[in-house]
Amino acid sequence: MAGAQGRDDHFRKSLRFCGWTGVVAVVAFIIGGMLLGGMIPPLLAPDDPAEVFVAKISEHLLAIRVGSVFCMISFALFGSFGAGIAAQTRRAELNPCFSYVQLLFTAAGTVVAVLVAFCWALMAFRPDEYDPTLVQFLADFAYFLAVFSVPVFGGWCVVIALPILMAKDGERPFPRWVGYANLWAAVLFAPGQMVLFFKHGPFSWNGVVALWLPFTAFFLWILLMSWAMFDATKDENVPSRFY
Amino acid sequence: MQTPDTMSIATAQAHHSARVPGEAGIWIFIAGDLLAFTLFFVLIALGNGDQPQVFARGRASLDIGLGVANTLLLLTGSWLVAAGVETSRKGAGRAASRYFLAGAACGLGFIANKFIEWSHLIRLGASPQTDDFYMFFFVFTGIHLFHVLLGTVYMLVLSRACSKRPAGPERDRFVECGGLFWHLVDLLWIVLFALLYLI
Amino acid sequence: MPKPSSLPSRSLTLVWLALVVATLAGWQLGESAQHAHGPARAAVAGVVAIAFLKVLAVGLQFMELREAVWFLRAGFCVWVFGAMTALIAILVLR
Repeated sequence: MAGAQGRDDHFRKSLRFCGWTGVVAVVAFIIGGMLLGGMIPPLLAPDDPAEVFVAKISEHLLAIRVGSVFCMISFALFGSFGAGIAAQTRRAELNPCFSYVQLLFTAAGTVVAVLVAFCWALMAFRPDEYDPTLVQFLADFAYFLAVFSVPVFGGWCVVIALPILMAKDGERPFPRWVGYANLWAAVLFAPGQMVLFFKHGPFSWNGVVALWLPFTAFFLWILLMSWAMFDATKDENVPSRFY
Repeated sequence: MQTPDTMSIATAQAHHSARVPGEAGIWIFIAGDLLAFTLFFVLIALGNGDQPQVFARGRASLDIGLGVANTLLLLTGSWLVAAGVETSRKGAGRAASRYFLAGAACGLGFIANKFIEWSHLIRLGASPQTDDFYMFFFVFTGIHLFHVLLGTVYMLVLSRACSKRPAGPERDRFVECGGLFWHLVDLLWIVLFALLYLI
Repeated sequence: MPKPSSLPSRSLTLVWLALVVATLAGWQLGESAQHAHGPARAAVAGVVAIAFLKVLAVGLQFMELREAVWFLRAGFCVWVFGAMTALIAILVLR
């Protein structure tokens, strides 16, 4: 019937839309967080005095402001990206539980990420009028939101992996290796929590283990899951594939 | 041109070596974890080059005997777990279950030993903030300890699964993946032990 | 007592024994690396090499890469020798 076929077609298109929002989120972050905003590679350092924070931000004021706009766009798209994944795992679950938990983690993760962009923007709003330590605090807060939030983003990955790995052959929303890749991503986010204990070196919020590792893993993970959503909708005859 | 002979040898070899232990997906996880730890190893080696005295002093304060004991515990655990995988594949679920329980006991021994070692070091006044050696020592052995904890829980789950679930390809896959994770934890410790205690 | 058929295979036990011996050898070499003044660099290289040979044995025997599809085995061996070479280079040359 045309009605059912139409609905299936609708699902395939909307899942592809969600996959594309993941890709756009990565591109927007590369523009806003990397090329303009100075979030990574990090412009600031946690062991700098507060005055140095103000000086560096004043010097790059416009770039950070424009970068923050792009970051906000990028982070807000985590919502539709995560909802797409949950919609596909939901189709494979008879009584959806993991899919609902995923939606909660998606919502929480989106709020946490959006707050990163808020802090980044406020930092560049009036750095000369704020007390310098307040500027420093906003930068600290932004990085803590991004990498200290391991259980939110790692938990999200784990509840994506579980319904994949626990499903039977032929009823799987995504291929099994995608499940393992999610577990791996969760492991790579974990060292982010070290930022509370160090102000310099590889475990501080500008360091290779606590910043670069989780950020690289996170955005590669988004690209992987976007690809997985595209792959699930490859076949024109069914709304989405099972593996 | 391929003669029929070489072709049949080629297909025979291809058939012989097409096996993927566990399943393909877990090797993505293993490769990922190996790469992350390779970064950790390189950081330790670079730190050692930057501050040789700090690292030598830190190393001298460690009890190598405890480190060796932990290495032997994980190696013995690996031997028991590998035996469990073999046994489970043969269909002897109860015997396999005992091997995995013994493997989990090795994991618990490792954790208890780490607790003794760390509490001794902390009583001596060492902490991750003391210097770069202790920073690397506590953080990297801590991340590894978390792996051991996961591995121990996985072995307990396998021990139960082998006595409850019927033998077959599904159980084989679950059991082999558990074995692979355990051995990964073992081999990461081998390198960490050499870099942090021995050099 | 497990039944005879459930005893570990001989190759498993031999590799385990070799690993234990290598651990003890690495320990002795490590002691001499920490206390020696002259040839310490050679001992450091030796300790790292022994560690990665142990890693190789764990991978090939316990992780069953010896009988696995060639690219898994090759990938693992490349990682073992690459990481070993890089670490020895950093530790000995710096």
